[in-house]
Formats: sequence, structure tokens, C-alpha cells
Amino acid sequence: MKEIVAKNQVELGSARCIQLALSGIMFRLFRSSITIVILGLAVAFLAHMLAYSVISGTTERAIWAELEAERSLGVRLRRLESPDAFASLLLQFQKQDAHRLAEYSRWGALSASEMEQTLRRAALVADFERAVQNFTNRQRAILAGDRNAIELLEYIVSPEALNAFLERCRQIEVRSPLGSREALETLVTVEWPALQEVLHRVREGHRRAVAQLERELEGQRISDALIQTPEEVKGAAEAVGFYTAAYDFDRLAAFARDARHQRRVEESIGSLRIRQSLAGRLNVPPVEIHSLRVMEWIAENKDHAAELDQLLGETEGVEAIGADNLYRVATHFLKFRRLQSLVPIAPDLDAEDRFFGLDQSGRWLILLAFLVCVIGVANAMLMSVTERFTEIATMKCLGAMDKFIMMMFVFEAAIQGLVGGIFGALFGVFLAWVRGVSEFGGTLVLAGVFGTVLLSALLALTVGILLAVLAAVGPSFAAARLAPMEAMRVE
Amino acid sequence: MIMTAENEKPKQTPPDRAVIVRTLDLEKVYGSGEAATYALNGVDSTIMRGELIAIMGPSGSGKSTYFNMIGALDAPTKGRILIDEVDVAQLSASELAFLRCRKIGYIFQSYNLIRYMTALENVTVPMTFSGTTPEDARRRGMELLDLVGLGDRWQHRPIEMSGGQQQRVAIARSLANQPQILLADEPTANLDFQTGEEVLEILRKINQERGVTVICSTHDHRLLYLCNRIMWIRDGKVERVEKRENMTIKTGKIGGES
Ligand SMILES: Nc1ncnc2c1ncn2[C@@H]1O[C@H](COP(=O)(O)OP(=O)(O)OP(=O)(O)O)[C@@H](O)[C@H]1O
Ligand SMILES: [Mg+2]
Repeated sequence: MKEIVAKNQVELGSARCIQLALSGIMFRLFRSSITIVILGLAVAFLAHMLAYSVISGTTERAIWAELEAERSLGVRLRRLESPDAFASLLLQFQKQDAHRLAEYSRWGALSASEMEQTLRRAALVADFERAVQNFTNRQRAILAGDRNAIELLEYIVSPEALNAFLERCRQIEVRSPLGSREALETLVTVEWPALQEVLHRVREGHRRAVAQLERELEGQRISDALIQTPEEVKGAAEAVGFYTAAYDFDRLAAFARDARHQRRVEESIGSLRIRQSLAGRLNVPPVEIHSLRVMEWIAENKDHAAELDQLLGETEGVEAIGADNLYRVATHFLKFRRLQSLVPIAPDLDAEDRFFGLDQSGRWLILLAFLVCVIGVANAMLMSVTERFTEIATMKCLGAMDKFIMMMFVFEAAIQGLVGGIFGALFGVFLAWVRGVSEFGGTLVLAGVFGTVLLSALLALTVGILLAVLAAVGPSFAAARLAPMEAMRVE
Repeated sequence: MIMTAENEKPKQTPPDRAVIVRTLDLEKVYGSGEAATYALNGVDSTIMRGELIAIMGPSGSGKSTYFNMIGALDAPTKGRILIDEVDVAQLSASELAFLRCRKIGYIFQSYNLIRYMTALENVTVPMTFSGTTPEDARRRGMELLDLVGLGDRWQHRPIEMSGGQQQRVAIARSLANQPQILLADEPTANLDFQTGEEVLEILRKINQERGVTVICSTHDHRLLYLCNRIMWIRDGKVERVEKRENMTIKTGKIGGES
């Protein structure tokens, strides 16, 4: 009779695994906490990169919108006082802004078909401009010299110049703009002159409208009239063809008023008396008095504003503005300057739709961060598994299945990844917030980013756990696969 | 090997005793090329069911290696191991785990306790793997610790125990799942005279009362009075196998030898 019959070993549930993994972690608390810290740092790094990208992107876009709103007020005010520049007219026909086009068709008395023609021609010119822009520097030097696109367009109007241009295109193997010779020839000889003619007509119409507006306001400067009677100016502007529905005249009036105050301050610095007494107050030589410095001084407190206002009042030919107005203008001026320095160029407005608002370089950075994570985590897990080969071997000697051992390590890694990951993600997001505050200060925009930031924290956490688990699977599989005594011998 | 054949005299073993472990031309080489060490070099041996066999030999003769082979803990370089007439090489991973867990008990020379577990937890590890409920495991674990005289130290961890105490925990653990074969690698090496005596008594009782086959390597001569046979190993070979009846007179010489 056989006494020993080999049967299949029972398989144990994950509860026992977790229990064992936990008691292992508790025993090696110091070692485990180092692993957890490494995991946490890796996750913090990732979470920080993602969250900061979201926070800074949102803030930059909000700041840009504010700057644009302010700039567009300036543009609107200017347009009431003088006609649009030729280049800006062309740009508006290319961008096809409905409000502007409504004004232009009135001023240029453009029929519907004329408008259609003009839009088509403007688009053609845009194609030409784009083609020129896409030249490399070398090609540009050969084909256009130091002319810009419009200058080039006007240059190749003579047949000889056009021939020479196309010949050179052939020589350096560049596709000529618009493709065919015929298209290019019609553009320079027919379309472009016709377009220019319409643009001039529109510009002339705009000039007439401005002149009429001034007449209507009885010789007052438009911005002065605007400050006093915005509603009246609005009516008059509408009558001469401005599309006033898009203009907030009260804001425009406030803007014009502040601009006038600001100009006053700047002009008053020119007066020797004021300059000298300001120099005394600011404790700098008179030559160093300039508008930024004065604005900063005013914004320091309202007493300074009152002092300057008194100075203005005492000076001949200058009238006082009011301390409150001065203070407001100065703080607004400084704020605008600071916003401008925070976001000097347009942020990528499409970024919102992209992966956590990351641009090309941001994505490389994330990849790098990810690699650092992989290496850090793999190293930490490798060490924590290899130093326990004896334990694995002992368990195998006592009848543990390979699967159970692997499961134990996977759970251990997952637990460590979870703990380290939660702290790391929180820490990373916290750091992103601190960095945002130190960079943007009070202008930091947190509204609406909560969801995305939470998502970036969760993503980093998941990556951390997955990495930890994957990094543990390799070495523990290698250990579990060996015969017990072979594993015992591994150093 | 020729000597083995002469000394073993298999025909003299009682017919009611079946072979439980058999090795055929067992060879284990560590390393390769120049550095190759023949830890076992052609070992043919048979161990009978229910016997208590002592394995003796100088240090480095291959006793522990032999244990690892017949305990299915390591693969031989050459040769076969049959446990209850089943070739170990043919067992699946799961069946091997079953065998190690329930049929064979191991007392390692270096104890191999798990560092982060208490004495009781260490003793119950094999029961965990065999699917015993935690309550049963705990109860039986305490019984086993009482048996080796460590009932009051069940919550000590290995680092908090002396070498002898750790060895006794290892002994308790080896009995966790009531194995059919007990492999004891120098179980009394670190014990004082009195405790060593107790451990030998435990081995004897397990052997006689439960009929467990006990294979015990040792330098302890007291075992010679308890065992049925002695197998002498030297340089990875079985030098000779003697029945105890035939060797009582020679004890003095044996002492000089090992
Ligand atoms: N992992 C190993 N790598 C290389 N050689 C080894 C290894 N393990 C054992 N050996 C060698 O195999 C031989 C037998 O070793 P083993 O441990 O079986 O001896 P032992 O009889 O148990 O000795 P002891 O009485 O000292 O425990 C020794 O010469 C040893 O050097
Ligand atoms: Mg040994």
C-alpha cells in the first residue's frame, strides 16, 4: 500500500496573501518606508508635472483673455478716432470677422458680390503669404531678398520680375506659390490691384465716418466726448456706420478716462516743478523720475496719490484728477504691466483640449519623468525582492506555490505603491499649487481646474501602483521559478 | 559503490518493511569546469518505511546535499530519486509543493526560520500552505511548541531567541502537517546535553509511536543508540551502511572517526 500519494497542492486566497504581505511590510518597516518614499517621490514628480501644466495653462489663458480684453478696448477707442491701417484691413478680410465686415461693407459701399470677391481675393493673398512664410531662410533669401510677402507680391507684377522669380523657383526646386504660373500671374496683375482698390475705398469710407462723427460732436475730441456722454457718442457712431452693438460704451468711456488720467500723469512729469518735487519725495535725482517709478510710488498708498494730486492742482495749466482716480489708474497700470510680463506672448489656446495641456516639450519632460519613475521604482522593488530570496526559498521548501509567492509580492508592491502614491500625489499637487502661487500670485486661476488636477493626481497614482507591481513581478517570478535550494543560494 | 553493495545487504531487511526513499546513482555537482565540486558522486541508497536512520560523515561529505535531494528541494545533476516508488522528477510543481508541505518535514541545519514571524507564526506557515484554518493552525502550533518546550515563547521572533531555541522552533515547524518522512539535518547540533536528549526523545517517539520515517544526520553519538541503521557518507559517496545490532561494540572507533 502506498503511503505517500502526491496530489495537487491547495491554492490559497488573496486574503492570506495580503495578510502575509502586510506583516512583512510591518516587520521591515524601515526598509519598506524607503521603498514607499521612493515610490512617493516618483509619483509626486509625475503628479506635479501634470497638475502644474494644468494650473499654469489655465491661468495663462485667463490672464491672456484679460489682456486681450484690455487691448481690444484700446483698439476700439482708436478705431473711433482714426481709420484702420491698410494691413489691419487686409487681416480683417482674411479673418472674416462678421462685425468688422458689416462696417466695411457700409463704408466701402460694397455690394454682396463685391464683398464675396474681396473675401476670395484676401484668401488668395493669405495663401500667397503662407507660402512665402513657409520658405526656409535660404530659399527666402534667394527668392525674395529682403522683401516681405506683400512687397514680393508687388514686386513680381512686371512680367520680367515674375519670370525671373519662377525661374529661380525652378532652379532651387521650390513649388511656386499658388502652384501654377497662371494663378500667380492673375493674382499679381488682376486680383491684388482689385483688392487694393477695395481696401482703399473702405479705408476712405472709415475716414469719412470718423470725420462725420467729429462734426456731429461739434469739434470735441471723440474720447473727451465719450467720457462725458457715452450714450450720445454711441448713437452718433452708430449713425455713421460703426457696429456699436459689439461695443460696451460704458467700459469704453471708463477706459478712455483712465487713459486720459494716465496721459496727464505722464505729461505732468515733464513739468520741471513737479518733477523736482517728486524727486524730493522719492529720494532720487530728477532725471530718474519716469512714469513707471511714479506709478509705483502712487500705488504704494493713497496718501501718495493725494500728494501728487495736490501737486497737480497747484501747477498752472494742469488740473487735478482726484486722489482716488490717481490711485486706481496707478494700480491698474501696474497690474497690466505685471500680467503682461507674466504672459508676454499668446499662450497656446488649443492646449486646453490636449493631454493635460502639455505641449511638445512638456510631453518630453513627462516622458523623462516617467523614465525616472520606472528606474527608481524598479530599483527599489528589485532590492526589496532580492534581499528576500532566502525567505522565498524557505516558503517554497514548506510547500508554497510559485503563484502564491508572486501574489504576495504583487500585493506588497501594490500596498506600497498605494501608500506612497497617495502621499506622493498629494504632495505633487501641493507643490504645483505652491509653484503656481509663487509664480502668478493673486492672479492664479484655480476655478475649473479641480477636476483635471484630481485626474492628474489619480493618473500619477495609478502609474505608480502599476509600475511598482510590474517592477515586483520580474524579480519575484525569477525567484519563485527556481528550485527552493537554488533560490536559497542566490545572493 | 562496490562497498555499498556489500554493506547494505538488502536481503536482510525485514520483508514487512517497504522502501520509502530510494536513490539511484545520485550525483550533484556544484559549479562547472575547473571549479566543479562533486557534492554527491553516485549515491545508491534505500531507506525503509518507519525506520530511524542516522546519516554520519565528516563535515563537507555531502549530508546536507543528500537531504536536499531526497527532500525534493533541489534537482540532482544526474540520477533518480524515488519517494514511495514515484520518481520525483515526474511530479508537477503543484504535486511537489504538496509533497513538501504535507509528506516531508524538514529541520534545516541553518533553521531557515522566517525573520519577521513569531515562533508560532513560523510553526504555522506549513499549515497555512496546506489550507488549515487559522484557529486549528494556532491550536496545533501551540501544541507543537509545548512539545519542544517553547510554549511560553510563542510570540518571540527568531532574533529574540537563542540558537537552540530557534532550532526547536524549526523542529516544531517540521512536524506541522504530520509528515510521513522527517528529514533532520543535525537537529541537536546547537543544544545542550539535556535539551538534546529531549529532542532525540521527540524524534524517537515520533518514529516509534507514529511510524514516521526519520532520516537524521548528526555528529551526536547518542543517536546511535536509538537508530535502526547508520549510513556513512564520505566525499559524496556512501561508505557503508550498518545495522545498529552489528555495531554497538564498535562505538569507540566510530567516535574517533567522526
Ligand atoms: N552551493 C554550493 N556551491 C558550491 N559547492 C557547494 C555548495 N553547497 C555545498 N557545496 C559543497 O558540497 C560539499 C557538500 O556540502 P554539504 O553541505 O552537503 O556537506 P555536509 O556534509 O552537510 O557538511 P556539514 O556537516 O558541515 O553540514 C562541500 O564540499 C561543499 O563545499
Ligand atoms: Mg550539512
